[in-house]
Amino acid sequence: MPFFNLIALTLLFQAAPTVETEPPLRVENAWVREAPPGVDVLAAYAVFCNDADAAVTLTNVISENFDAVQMHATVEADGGVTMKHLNSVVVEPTECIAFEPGGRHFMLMDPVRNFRAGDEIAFTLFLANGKEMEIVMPVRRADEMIEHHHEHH
Amino acid sequence: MNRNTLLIIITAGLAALAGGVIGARLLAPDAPPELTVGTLLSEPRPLPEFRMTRHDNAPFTREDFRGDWSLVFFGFTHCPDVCPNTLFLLDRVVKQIEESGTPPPEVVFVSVDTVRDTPEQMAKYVEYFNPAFIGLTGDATNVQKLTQAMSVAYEFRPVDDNSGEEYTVIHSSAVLLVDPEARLRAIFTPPLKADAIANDLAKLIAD
Repeated sequence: MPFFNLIALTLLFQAAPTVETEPPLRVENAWVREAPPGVDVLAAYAVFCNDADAAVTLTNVISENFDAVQMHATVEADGGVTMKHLNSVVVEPTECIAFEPGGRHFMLMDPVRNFRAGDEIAFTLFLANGKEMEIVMPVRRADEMIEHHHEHH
Repeated sequence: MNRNTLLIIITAGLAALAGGVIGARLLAPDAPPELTVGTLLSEPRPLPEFRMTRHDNAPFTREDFRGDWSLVFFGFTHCPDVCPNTLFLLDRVVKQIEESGTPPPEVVFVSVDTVRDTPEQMAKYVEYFNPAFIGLTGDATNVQKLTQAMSVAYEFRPVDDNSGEEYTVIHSSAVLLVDPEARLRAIFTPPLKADAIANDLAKLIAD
């Protein structure tokens, strides 16, 4: 390959992600909690960071692997806890929003099959600005992630 | 200061220290240990009689709490967030206490979902977290006896978000400690930390 073609190709690959495919939100620590046997409701977690200068609003999440996916928050209610359905979640500029155990989470209902630790599940996230994001989350047992969380915080 | 004088001072100091410790024990012989994260009840609260079913279909009554310390958590198996979090945490608490050489408490997970959670469902569920955990189900009357005795809130509510679930459950996220005399002894409320709970329990069990 001629030297200048190689440079052009390198520049093309470097430039490409910034044009069309750069995700509007940066996703960190995404994972799906493996469901205990006999349970058809799972929870997924991730941290979404907005590196842009405008707020990004997450409005919906789907996956062909579940009948329904909803954004929920575990909240205090009447001396106990319950789950509240969230219609949207706003990530302000330069901020991160965490979906984490005991707080916001994606509730995944009726999986098409029994997902186990080590599997990966694809999701599509819909944003209020009309954009979509594809993300893939690994399935893990919760204890692995809790230990990981403790090691890094 | 010669050597004898130093010896007398040290001996007197040790005697004073020992006297202080003994005096403190005599003045408050039953003073409970101070807990870091748990709340100790001022008076242990005896549990009422009840009859639940273990995950292996054996009966479980108040008498089964006798002889062991027990950590009790109320929830349901279709709870995707708080219940698995808490049961994984209780597994870590038990393992930390075991590692310290102290006999660990029993962990008892009581389902407040009397419709969906059968003993068979509970067996698969609790064994996933720890094969030694005990899962309990029962009718509404017996569940209510336990929740009332332990001041645990729970309520079924219809779901209004088209999730396909017919109802959801409001339940306490606290972990209750029952002593070997079947009395409610302490309460651990969120945020729950395994290390801190294990330390508190080790103090109580060793007391």
